[in-house]
Amino acid sequence: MFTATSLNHRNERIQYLFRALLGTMTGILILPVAVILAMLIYKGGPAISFEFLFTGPTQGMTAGGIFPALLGTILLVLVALVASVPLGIAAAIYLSEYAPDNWFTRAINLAIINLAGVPSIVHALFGVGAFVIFFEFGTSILAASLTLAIMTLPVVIVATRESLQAVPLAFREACWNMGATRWQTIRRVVLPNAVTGILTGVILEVSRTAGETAPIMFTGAAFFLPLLPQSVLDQTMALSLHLFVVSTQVPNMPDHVPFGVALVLISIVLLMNSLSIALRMYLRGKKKW
Amino acid sequence: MVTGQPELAQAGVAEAPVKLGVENVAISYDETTVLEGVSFDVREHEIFGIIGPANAGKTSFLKAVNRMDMFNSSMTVDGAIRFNGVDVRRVRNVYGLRQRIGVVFPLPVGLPMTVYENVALSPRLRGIRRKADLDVIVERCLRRAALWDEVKDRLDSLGSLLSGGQQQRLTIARALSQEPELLMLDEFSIAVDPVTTMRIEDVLKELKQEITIVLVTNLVQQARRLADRTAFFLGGQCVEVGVTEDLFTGEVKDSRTRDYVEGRFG
Repeated sequence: MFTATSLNHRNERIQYLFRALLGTMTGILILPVAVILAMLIYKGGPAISFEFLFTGPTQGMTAGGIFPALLGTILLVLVALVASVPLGIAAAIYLSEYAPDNWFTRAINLAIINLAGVPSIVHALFGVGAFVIFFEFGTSILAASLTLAIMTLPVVIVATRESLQAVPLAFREACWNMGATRWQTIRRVVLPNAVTGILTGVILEVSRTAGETAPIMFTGAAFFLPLLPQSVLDQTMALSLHLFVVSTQVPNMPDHVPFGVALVLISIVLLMNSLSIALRMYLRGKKKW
Repeated sequence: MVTGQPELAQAGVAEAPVKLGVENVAISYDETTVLEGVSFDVREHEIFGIIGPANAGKTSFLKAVNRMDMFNSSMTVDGAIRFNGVDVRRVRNVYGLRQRIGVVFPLPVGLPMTVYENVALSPRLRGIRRKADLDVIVERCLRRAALWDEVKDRLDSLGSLLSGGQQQRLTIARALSQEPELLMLDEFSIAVDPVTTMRIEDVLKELKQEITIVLVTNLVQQARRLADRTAFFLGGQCVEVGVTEDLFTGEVKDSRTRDYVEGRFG
């Protein structure tokens, strides 16, 4: 009764074939990441030292450290976060919880998707026009961060909206039925259950801005500065631009410097991603439904 | 009007004022009409049963009472549903209306918060902040829903960790925490075991002293046990309204009513 027919055998063979195929694809995907990381650690690892991380560059950037660039990147990302996260979350809450389903809302959603597709160099030029010139921030951390913020807004909105919509509609309806207003429902039921997703999504997406070069190079990031920035209206060095500079713009650059810079940059991004993933795993364990 | 005075006199609720006046109500989703020509009065301190097979329009009716049509742009309601004499569609303060009408759904929707928070939510929405006041309300509502003894030691655990029957009583406690004047239950026993069902039925009989109850049920015997008067919905129409016992033993206007309550079709 349970002897395998030729059809069973055939299905089984196909199943093994597809498993092997899909597994190989996954392997191919992992390969480049592994190779890049290995290369960076092998070539850039020896450059990493306390001095490299915490002192400024010397001798035309061929020696010394990267501290001004490291600090600059952290500042740029932080200021960008402060600008984009409240704005993006507010917009996402409106779009998810309040906006009626009409042509206007659909147009806004379309605009958000398109904004995400705008090339970063275009954002850079927009930043120059809007923040550097029109608002007269000059080339500064503020102008660069706001440019980054505009660029990350769509991903913040999308990440937030997805977290909000992961909260089942039945919870909202139960709450509305008790006589709660939309805002009471959002505050008491929707946000407490979406906040973990929002948080992790936002960290994950925004960490990418650490590596952006084009939007900051015309708006606030400098080639080389002898002093650290004193306010958000000063220019700053940044890791991504520094990497570009030391790899292509400076003659007689020792090999380990650009690799070291790249290793630090990728470490920051990976660190933030791991943080986000760890947070997500921790909070998922506390899920309430 | 389908409700005649003699029937009311029999049920002993003739003098009670009308809590929910339903007049020629029709409900449709886009082009599809799911309910039409429904008229009856629900009087104060009665349990009003609504029976009928699936797709008879029972749940849609409850949604219309609570103005849930506001959440569904394809749903339109015609006619008049008067709560305390005021057409619900003319009520400006729809939040106040919903607060006065408690709803219990077929499948319990425990909000993703603790047992305590579930019951304290509605009082909090009304602006009650003091812990001592909330404690009193939570205990009273859980007691009235026959749940207190089972959860009094785990008020801080998640509502969703309770058993199905407990969760349903939690949603009843939550509805009671609104201090409603009207409680509408939509097939509350669908996910509940028979013993718990009986306990909830006892609770409803007691609650009747204080509030008005609309009970939508698939179980005709449940309607017979609980409801003072019952409406029979069939295929989007209200074919019968009368004193419950009459549906089973007395005169009926439509022979399908007798067929349904005796289980000849369903």
